[in-house]
Amino acid sequence: MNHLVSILVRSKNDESFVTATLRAIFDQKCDIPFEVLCCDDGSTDRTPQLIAAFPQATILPRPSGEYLPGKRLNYMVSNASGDIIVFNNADAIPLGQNWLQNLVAPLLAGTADVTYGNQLPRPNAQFLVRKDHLRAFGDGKTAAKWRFFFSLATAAAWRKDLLDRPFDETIRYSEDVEWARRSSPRIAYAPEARVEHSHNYTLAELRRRFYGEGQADARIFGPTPLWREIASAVCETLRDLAFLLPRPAGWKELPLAPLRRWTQKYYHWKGGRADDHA
Amino acid sequence: MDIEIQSEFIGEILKFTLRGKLLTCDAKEFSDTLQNQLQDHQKLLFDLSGLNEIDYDGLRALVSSLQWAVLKGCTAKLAAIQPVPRILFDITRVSQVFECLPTAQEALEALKKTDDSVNPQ
Repeated sequence: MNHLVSILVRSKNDESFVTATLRAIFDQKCDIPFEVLCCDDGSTDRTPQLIAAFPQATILPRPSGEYLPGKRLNYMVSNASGDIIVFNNADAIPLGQNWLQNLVAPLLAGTADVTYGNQLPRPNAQFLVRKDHLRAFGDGKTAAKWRFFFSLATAAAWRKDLLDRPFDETIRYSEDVEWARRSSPRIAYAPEARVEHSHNYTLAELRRRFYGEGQADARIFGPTPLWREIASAVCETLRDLAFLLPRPAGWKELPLAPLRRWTQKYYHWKGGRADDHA
Repeated sequence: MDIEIQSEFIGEILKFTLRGKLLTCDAKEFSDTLQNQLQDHQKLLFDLSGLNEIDYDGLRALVSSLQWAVLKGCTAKLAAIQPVPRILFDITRVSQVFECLPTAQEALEALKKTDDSVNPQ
């Protein structure tokens, strides 16, 4: 059967990464031909010019209106020609030439409906970011226990499934988890499909992100009870300490580690109590 | 077909021995041939020691037949996957979805130990 992969690249102010990402994408060795569609969300840096330096990529015009992830993803999927859709953020740099092959392989063999790749932290990632990535990705054993977990930062799915059940166009965070819960696909983690992707969030960014995720999670799963947020914060803080203590280079993160973790959990809980669960 | 399918009963276990290449051109016929021989609640052994090449469509045909068999209450085990096909079995996670044993003899022993209840692994 002849397949075509459409790789959808979303960007916003990604000038530090987008060239490396697109180079790595066009350098892929894959049995299946692929096209690349880029859509920028009003970058104020040089991202659009850097994307334009890749004439092989199709540039989709930015749709009018407010950015909502589901709406943007549906727009890009509807403009794709491939029967397989690969999502890859402009700041997720594929590592090696087999990223694409490894990501789509379970779809082709019929063992999964959706796959997501392995996100490795950047060399400058904070120690606790490394620890969170190890849990969320790594050997995949921890995340396998999480409900409907997968990440669109680097992922693949059948276009038909995405057209039959589009992303929710009103939710601002966790559109991938919401879609997975509604669609119940067979999700496979592809550890060999590796990208470099991580963020060293400031406390203000952490607050914003986890407040938004709390809002989204409340809408998807219902509000998280306070006792569960507290229990989760305690467990995670202990895990943070267990991770940092044997690593002297990470000791400088020790004083702020509990503050960062409790900020996440508090704002996640607070977001879940907001009136607008969008 | 580039793929040869041989089937035999060893006690209550239905053993399929595959030899040759399982590629796109033969995938549909392979799937039909296999599914025509399957019945509910069987114990199935797929000896892949003679399978030296497989592509995505071939693997998809094998996986869909296995999934179909499991839905019908069968127990299936794969055995003796050769190094070249093994690459595809691993990156597609097939080897995590279905139990794969190093030799047909080990798979046979493992199947003998399973009870008659539904067991996808």
